[in-house]
Amino acid sequence: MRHRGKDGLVAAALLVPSAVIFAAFFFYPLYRLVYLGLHRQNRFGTEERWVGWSQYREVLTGDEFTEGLQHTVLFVVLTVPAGLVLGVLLAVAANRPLRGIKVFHTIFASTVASSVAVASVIFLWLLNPQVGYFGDVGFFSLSDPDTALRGVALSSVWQNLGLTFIIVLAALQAVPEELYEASVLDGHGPVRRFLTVTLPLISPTLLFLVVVLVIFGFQAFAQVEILTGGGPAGATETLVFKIFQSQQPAQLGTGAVMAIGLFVITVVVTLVQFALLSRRVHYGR
Amino acid sequence: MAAEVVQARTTKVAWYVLLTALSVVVLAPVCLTLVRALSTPASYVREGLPPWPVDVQWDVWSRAFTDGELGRKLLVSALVTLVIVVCQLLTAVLAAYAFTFLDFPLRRTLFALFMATLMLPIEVTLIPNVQTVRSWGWLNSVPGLTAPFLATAFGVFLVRQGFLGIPRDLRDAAQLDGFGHLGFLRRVAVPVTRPLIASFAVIAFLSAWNQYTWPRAVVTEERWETIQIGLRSLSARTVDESNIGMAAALIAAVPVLTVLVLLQRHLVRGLTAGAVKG
Amino acid sequence: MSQIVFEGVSKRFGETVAVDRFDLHIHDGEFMVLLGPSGCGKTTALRLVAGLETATEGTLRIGDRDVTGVEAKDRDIAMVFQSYALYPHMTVSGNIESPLVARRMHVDGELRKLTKAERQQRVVEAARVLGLDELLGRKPAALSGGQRQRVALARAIVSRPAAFLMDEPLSNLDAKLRAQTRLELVDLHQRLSTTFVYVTHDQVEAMTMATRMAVVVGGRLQQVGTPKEVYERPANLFVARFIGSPPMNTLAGIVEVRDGEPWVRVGEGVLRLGPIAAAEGRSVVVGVRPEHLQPSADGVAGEVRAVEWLGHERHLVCDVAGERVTVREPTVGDDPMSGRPVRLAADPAHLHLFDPDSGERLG
Repeated sequence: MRHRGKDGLVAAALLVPSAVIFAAFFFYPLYRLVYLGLHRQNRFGTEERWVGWSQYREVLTGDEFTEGLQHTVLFVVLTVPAGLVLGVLLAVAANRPLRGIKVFHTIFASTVASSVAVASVIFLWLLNPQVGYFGDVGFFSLSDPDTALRGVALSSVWQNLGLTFIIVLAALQAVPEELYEASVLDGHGPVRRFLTVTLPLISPTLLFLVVVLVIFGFQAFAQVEILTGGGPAGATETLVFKIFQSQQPAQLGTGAVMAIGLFVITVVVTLVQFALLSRRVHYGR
Repeated sequence: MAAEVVQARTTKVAWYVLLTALSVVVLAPVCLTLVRALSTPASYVREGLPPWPVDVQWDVWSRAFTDGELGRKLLVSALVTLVIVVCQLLTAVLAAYAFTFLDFPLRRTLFALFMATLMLPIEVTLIPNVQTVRSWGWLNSVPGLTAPFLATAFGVFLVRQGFLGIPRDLRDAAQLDGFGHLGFLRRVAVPVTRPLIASFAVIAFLSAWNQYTWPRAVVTEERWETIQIGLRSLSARTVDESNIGMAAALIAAVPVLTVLVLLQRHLVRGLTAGAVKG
Repeated sequence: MSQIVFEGVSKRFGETVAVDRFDLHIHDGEFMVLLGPSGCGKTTALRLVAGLETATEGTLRIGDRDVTGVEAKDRDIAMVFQSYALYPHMTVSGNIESPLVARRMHVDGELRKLTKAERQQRVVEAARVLGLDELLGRKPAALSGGQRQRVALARAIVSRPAAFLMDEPLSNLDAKLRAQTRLELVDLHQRLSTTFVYVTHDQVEAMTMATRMAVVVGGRLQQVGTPKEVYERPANLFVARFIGSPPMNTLAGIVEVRDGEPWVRVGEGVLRLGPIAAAEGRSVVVGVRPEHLQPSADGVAGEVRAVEWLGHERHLVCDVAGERVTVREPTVGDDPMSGRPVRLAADPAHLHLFDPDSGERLG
């Protein structure tokens, strides 16, 4: 009566809805991107010409892409370490049995309620050179090409605080009390305790967070559009921003190549991170 | 002994002070925005940007609604979010059921393929998807706004985690009780994993409501704008009308904030299901 | 009320043979215990009866029906799982009722689903039998281990099955509760007069509850018999060593014939054997239970290594010819000192002989 794979029909029925969506909006686009990258269209989208892999080479080594990549990488560098450290700080501070601590939990987690658009609008006016609170803080100035990306990054760091906090707090709470007690018995001070007990045990979570935040960073778009529109002078144009701009028929090929570039980078970065960091991650007992 | 008590108390107070300070930092951007939203921009600037409202305009909220047609935008967002959340729940539960409890050829391969879609965010697949949607005449429509998000591998993963936690014995007992697949799904699998499914629903709601990039790409008529992309045009106004944009931003955050406050538990559970061991 | 028959039943999982050609006849109304170490296939055998696994070879019968291809829900059996498998989101009442909801029952000669009223009535009955009347509205999380177990039992009896299958139901209870529940289960069996098939690795449970037991090792039936039979005449070394606590002592030896009488030489000493046909010089393994060994003037030579004093008796752990031997004796006189040499002998009637290679009983 039972054969291997007996549930084929039922399984097919259950999987088809998801599979159709995935095929149409995830896998087909991947193929289509590669295809678009191999062709060039004219301004009206009426003609299409095969150009082969040369377009890939051109675009990936060209200024547009490298600039976009630079800006994006810089953005990631600006947002991820800071966001992680701040999130850990908040979580460590709030992980104690004080009365009313839940209120602080909610407050620290609250930025997760803000969408990218909302956070961007908030910081648009906070950092506005003329009328913003921190408008005159040169370090984050949105009107200076050298510092504009920092301003954009600031809004994302703030926005990610909630998410980071929630996840790190949960990881902290999962550390068994006994390990802290053993550490106290060993005569460790708070800093040492943090380094030898806490950090190793939450490191899988931190790794996960780093991957998530890096991926978010690579996808930065809305904050750029709202805060700087890509300026000043294209100083904040991230890869996705450029991809978005390249939806005109003549630029489809370029945009497609950039999208493939982004895809490959995301995959590689994720894999590399896992490989590198998991060697240093201590997996519990 | 008393000295220790005093020191313990001092430490406590110190922590409260620190936590309050941190809270101020975290809440400051929102509070300041609220203050400015309520103020008359010109007066506010003139007063030197104080941390309290100046020349309060209580009607800024209704003006944001009328000026920015927030009502319509909120409706569009609500509709799109509803469709996405419901569909994601359905597709994720069904797919997770198949992967957890059914035996079929290529099960591992298919699961890997499903999970592989996590590497293909909308930012990467934007151009072809816009083309597809446009060619089907779905620009500026609910189908266009929702189609790529009707299924999600994250949901399949999360619900599957929940289903995997159902003890084998429970499945055997249900089999002995005569429950077929549908019966087991309805009467056992879903009820038992309800907390995790609820968490997924919360996360799905958040990400659907907060979406920016895709709506921005497929909406060209203002009346089809979601609240998030509506914020862009509203915030691009002059300083004198800046409070409207800020008010709109705050309004846009209210549904999510409500969900967060009410359902924080579920949100936390969903976010940490993949991240934290134990 | 039904008998259960295994005819040449085997179950393979890929390369592994979990159940190897079982031929077992479980009589109607008996309390059959499948006993064996972890992983020996006894649970798989139980699941085959339940219909949760399908036999790779052989035929299974319940009553006079060939159920080899029949689905679990139609086999008219009920199962109590090791972890109880209670639905955590349903109340006790809902859990007890669940076998009645989807299955069709034999009622007044026809096979049909029960009405809501009929289901409720059965639930109340089953709850009463197991003393769960007060707990019907609670959820499993609010119950103690013993209470959950009773809910699992109630769920089993509510469908009035032809046979009850139990998979180590006592293993999650603490020792005291276990002893008490053993008695309750035996009592339940007598009240219901239904076939019970019970799986366990605990030989105390098997010995105290079974009308008959089947010892399973490595997927194979080693011996089937009453507890007394299995204890007093183990069919092979597996069974001999598995049953009894402390376990039977087994010593390697060689048969000697003196004056036409068979003896076995173990190390420097010899033990007199009962009437047995064994050739001179044959290698054997001689088994003797700890309670049958006594210090004596002749017999095998050994040295006391440790004395475990248990109040009413003491165990002498000795070294005989390089092998560990345990002796049970009443606590009379001073405890012997460890390190002291000792000679041990036993009544020939209490000596068992086994072939060293096959482990099979000789004679």
